[in-house]
Amino acid sequence: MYQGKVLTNNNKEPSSLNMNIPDTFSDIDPISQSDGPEPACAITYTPEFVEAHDYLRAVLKADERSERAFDLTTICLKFNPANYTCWHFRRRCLVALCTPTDGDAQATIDVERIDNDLEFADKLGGSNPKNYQLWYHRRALLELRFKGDEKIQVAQKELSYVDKILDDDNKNYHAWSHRQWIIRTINQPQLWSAEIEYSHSKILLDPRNNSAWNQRWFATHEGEIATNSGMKLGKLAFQKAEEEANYAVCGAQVDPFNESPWRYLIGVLMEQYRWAQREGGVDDKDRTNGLLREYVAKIKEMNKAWDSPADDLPAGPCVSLMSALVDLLETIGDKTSLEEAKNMMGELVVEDPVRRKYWNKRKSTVLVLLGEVSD
Amino acid sequence: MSSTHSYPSNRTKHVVESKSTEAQQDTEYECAPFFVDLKSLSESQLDHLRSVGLLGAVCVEIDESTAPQGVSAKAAKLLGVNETEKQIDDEPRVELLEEIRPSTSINKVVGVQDPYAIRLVRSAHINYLSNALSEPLSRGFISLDASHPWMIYWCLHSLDLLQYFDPHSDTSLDSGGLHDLETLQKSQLLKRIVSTMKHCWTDVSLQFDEDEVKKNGKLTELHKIQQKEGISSTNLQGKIELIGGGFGGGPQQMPHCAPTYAAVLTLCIIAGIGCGQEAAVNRSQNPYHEAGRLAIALLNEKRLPMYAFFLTLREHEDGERIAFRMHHDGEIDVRATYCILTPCHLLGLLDKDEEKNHLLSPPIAHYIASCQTYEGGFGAEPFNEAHGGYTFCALAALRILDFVSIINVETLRSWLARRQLEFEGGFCGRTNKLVDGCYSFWQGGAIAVLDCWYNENNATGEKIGSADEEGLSFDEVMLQRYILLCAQDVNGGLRDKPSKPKDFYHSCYNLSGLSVAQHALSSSWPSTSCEAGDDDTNLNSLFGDASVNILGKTDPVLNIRLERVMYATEQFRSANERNDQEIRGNET
Repeated sequence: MYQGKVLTNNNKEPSSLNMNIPDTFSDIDPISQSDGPEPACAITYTPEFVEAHDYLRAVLKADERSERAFDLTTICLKFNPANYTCWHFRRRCLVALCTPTDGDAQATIDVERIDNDLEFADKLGGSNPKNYQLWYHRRALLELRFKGDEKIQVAQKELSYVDKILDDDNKNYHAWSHRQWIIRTINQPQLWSAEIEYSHSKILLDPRNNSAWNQRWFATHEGEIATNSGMKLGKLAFQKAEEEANYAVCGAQVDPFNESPWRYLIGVLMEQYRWAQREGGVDDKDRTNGLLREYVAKIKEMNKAWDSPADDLPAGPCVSLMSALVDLLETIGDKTSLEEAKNMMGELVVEDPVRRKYWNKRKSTVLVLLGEVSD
Repeated sequence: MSSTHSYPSNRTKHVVESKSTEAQQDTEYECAPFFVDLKSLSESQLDHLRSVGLLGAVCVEIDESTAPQGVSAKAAKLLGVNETEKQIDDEPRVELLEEIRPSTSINKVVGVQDPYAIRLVRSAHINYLSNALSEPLSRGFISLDASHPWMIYWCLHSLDLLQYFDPHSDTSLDSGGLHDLETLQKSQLLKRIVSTMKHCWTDVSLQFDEDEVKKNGKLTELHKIQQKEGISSTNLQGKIELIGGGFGGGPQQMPHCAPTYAAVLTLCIIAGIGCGQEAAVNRSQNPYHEAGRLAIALLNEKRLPMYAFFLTLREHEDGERIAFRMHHDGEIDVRATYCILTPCHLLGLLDKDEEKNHLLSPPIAHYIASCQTYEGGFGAEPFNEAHGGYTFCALAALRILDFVSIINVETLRSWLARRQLEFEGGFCGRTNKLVDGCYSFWQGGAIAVLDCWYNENNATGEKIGSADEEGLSFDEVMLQRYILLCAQDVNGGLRDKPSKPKDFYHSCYNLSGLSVAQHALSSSWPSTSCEAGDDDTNLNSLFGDASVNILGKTDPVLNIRLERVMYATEQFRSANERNDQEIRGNET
């Protein structure tokens, strides 16, 4: 069995491509794929594919974490970047190769190897930035890199990498998720505030980029999850909430037919309201109720635009606006507001017909509330 | 086609143009031609639609004494009428003559049909899917080499929804010989699938504290079995070694939640087909019985090792939440929880007593709940954008855990309702994104799960509001319309949207969504056995040709047919009781 002789080879890419696999692995027997007879959905592999994977199976079985095994994973991953078993084994090889052979428990990280692998993952991802394994590999590599002193610089470098991906596909789910992971893992104030700015720049670029709105929520909340024990509040401070509500309503004013700012607005307001109802004192309840009413007034004002619409304003009514309004009215919950909500939901049944069953159910709920509320 | 249903023609509006508005306009533009009023078409255009099977021939009457108009495409192939390609590379063109309606007898006289009723092109889809399973796939499929169980599940479940394996009375169509040959081939295919899954299983060595094994009836039983086989041991640190495992994306690949989910569903489908349904009228036994038996045997053999493997994927996020990884040293996200809970539910690995069962603990539900965003849907991880796929997984997992009430049900309902597109009628995955046929199931199915839960939990004996409140909260006719008009590829298979090519995944989830849209909500979950037999009755408003389009009824939480769920859960219920006895034995 090949025994841990680490070859130094800083220029991985071309050499491993040119590997003569049977020669390199002449000391071990390849293992063919055990499909059984007549497998269903049988793929017609190329001979090169078969050869590479026959030897991969052999090194997997032997758990040989060596340079040549690592190079073999490069070849196999080029065939199929979704091979999670191969990625997993590649990481094992990397860790083994990064660890000095003198058995020192403190592994000094071979930064260059890791950066090379990030480069490799990027090249492999080129045509398919939606591959789970690639993004997870980056996380695993970065976890090693984040252990060092320059973790903030590393994080920022990675964030620019992700920005590059987002340039191409500005709603790429993995990319946005990756940004969140980086920022919450490093957890430094400058990264949180920078991300608010970043989200804003993406919203300016495309106000309907809902991922950017969602990112703003993440960044302003600093990734704090409300827990049942109440130790983490997970909500914005009231003043911050006022700012964010204002930001959202401005976004809605720019284009009332854009759902994203409306849902952000409702999210901000309802977060305050629910917290106040559950845990707040009288003052908290008063000011959150005041906030809701303030926005009801603002939205009603916006709705007047269709009374005498400008030429370039698309014909109303604006369903997104009405949806937001009914949510607030129902929450405020006094008789007048509920009546208004009920009537508006009746309009929505007609104006938003694909959702008429939903609006009918909402209306039924309001009717019940009306039955319960005192004059 | 419901004549009382009006189809909105509202294109989305905007004040400001952006990349998103352009993309949305392009999509509406691409779908619009498919919504053309059929009555405005010329006779030759209508003839073309009939020739590809989208419309039926007018006034079809089938006399039982004469030979029928056509043969199934598969039979045609066997007869050498059409040479179809051996490999699936480009999609083979299949010439359709007349379609066979699987679950209605061809001896019935069919009256005047609505000549404009759009049809599911069953034969084309069946060919596409059955060939995918039985014939070699081209080298382009290497990108799915780590997803064999998925490919198989997508195709098999689709075929099952199309009633491909349903017993039907022998018809005058065949003189027994041809029909038997076809059945034999189907039976062979099912056996091949079981064998393929068997080869996707990988064992993995696991370590447990002695304490944990003692407290867990299933681990205790596994330990006993493996001790007898001489494969389990206790190591020097006092830890018990068990051989667990799971299904991987292919032979000799690491066990992984997702292929495990797909494999278990596939095997449950086969078990149900083979052992859970009656034979056809003139048959003495179910021709798929052997395949069913093999599937059950494999599930029996692997259920406890699988359970042990699942336990080792737990990750404690903080004192209050537990998440699961997709595989050892793999990513954590909300899908894993669903991929684990589904096989556990089907194989009787969940019991209601929280203390004894580590998979029903509240922290798992709390992790899922922490993935709900301000919009109401769920993301992959906390704070990730609300997304249809993850929302479905989160909700379905909570349903299995019986913990739906801990989330914000109202915002979820609101987010889900908004995902149906006004013009296209299909669903999108996220706010301000485009329609995609696969969300027919992820979103439509999620709504069905939530509606069913809602009905169960708000039932006060009084019905509040209008009768319209029963049934699904989305426009099921509009969804069916999108699937049948925009998502079907007339050469077989279904797709994201007209500009995209068909594939197995989209075929599966479009058909699953169509099934959800067609069938009335179950009154409860898990469903009762009487509902499982309800294929042709108790339907929602239908779009298109009702004599052709109705699929099998899928369980919106687990996404295999109800009958298959019933059979599997019955099979493994007694196994679970045995485990409980183990634990009681340990305690005395």
